[in-house]
Amino acid sequence: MKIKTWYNKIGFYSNPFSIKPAAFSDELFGFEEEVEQLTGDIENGSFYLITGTYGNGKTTLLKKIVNNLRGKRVIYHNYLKSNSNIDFEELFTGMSFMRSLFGMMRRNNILLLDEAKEMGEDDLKKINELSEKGYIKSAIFVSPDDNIEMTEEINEKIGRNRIDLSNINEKAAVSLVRKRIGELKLLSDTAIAKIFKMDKNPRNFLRNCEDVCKYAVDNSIQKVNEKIIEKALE
Amino acid sequence: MPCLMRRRHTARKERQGQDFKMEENNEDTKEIIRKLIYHALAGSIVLFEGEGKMKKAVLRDAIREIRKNWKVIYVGKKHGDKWEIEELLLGSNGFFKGIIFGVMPRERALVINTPEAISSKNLDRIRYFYDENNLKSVIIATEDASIINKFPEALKNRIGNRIIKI
Repeated sequence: MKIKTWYNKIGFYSNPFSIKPAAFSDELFGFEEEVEQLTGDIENGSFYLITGTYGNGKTTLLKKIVNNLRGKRVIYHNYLKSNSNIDFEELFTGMSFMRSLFGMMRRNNILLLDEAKEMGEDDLKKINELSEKGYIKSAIFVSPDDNIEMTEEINEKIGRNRIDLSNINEKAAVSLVRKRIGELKLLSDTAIAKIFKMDKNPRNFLRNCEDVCKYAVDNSIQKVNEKIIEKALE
Repeated sequence: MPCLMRRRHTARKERQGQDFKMEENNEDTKEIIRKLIYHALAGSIVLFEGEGKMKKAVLRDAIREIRKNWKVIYVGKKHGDKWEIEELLLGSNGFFKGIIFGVMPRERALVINTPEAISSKNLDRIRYFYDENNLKSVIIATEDASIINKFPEALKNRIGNRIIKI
């Protein structure tokens, strides 16, 4: 059974509507202001809490910030990767032989903590302690909701620096798809907007775009219209 | 020994016969296999509901096809509930690269045939490795799709409408 996928048929090597965060590097639409504000504040030293429902682009936003702050001491950690607490000493010492020999930690580290809901109290206390000593300059905590247990000190440091990522707007949705499929005639801007209206969550939107394109290509349809969208997504 | 080999040979022939029969006669099953393969190739997380021999046959055919593109990590009953996705991934990258040097592989396909035995921690990790592209795609085969209600919200969100039933 040989399967040629719809995207292979129209000349793509892989699925252009992949839902993985930052599947196509440096791609973030709709949160330009937030990224600019965050990048600036983080460079100057501040703590942030970012929340947003699943698929709204929290991890993608962090990856964009990592990209923007290339060359700085940025450490990205996802709490899903390991059960244990972070070994900050090892992390801030780095790979340098001399530093590890004398236990010298680098200063002014920027921490980006994904899935921060999973982090333990020990880590929060340690972050506060290291930030007081100047080893941590800034930190961003990312969580699906703000129902996250923080220590009083960290909460104080975050203060009003809380960003809730809402859904992207129509213009950003069109740009997102255009960045991925180029000027492909199969999907017009109107069709993309129509698909977006059906579900504004970026992840669901991409999945719907995939379903519509698959339906269209499999049925040899040259251009998607409203009826086809409804049929493909019914 | 020759007797055992002959028996194995006959069993293989019978199995091949079954495949042939299935491919020839059952259009619905073929369509389901095609869907599973498509989602695996397109890099989705799919929940596949089926029962007994049919589920096994569909999975076998799908895995055979997916293997042409990526290495497949299969988690079946024999793994019980004491498996760690990280260890399986490292193991799939070979002894030196994976186990000795701890290099994570890229783009593996994961097929889980006993989702009832997965811990929620493992489910969360699967999501992490999927997002990082260590796992290209994931097929979770179950006898009852309502198991999705026990999955973490984030994983449910990634599965979305990718539920295939026989």
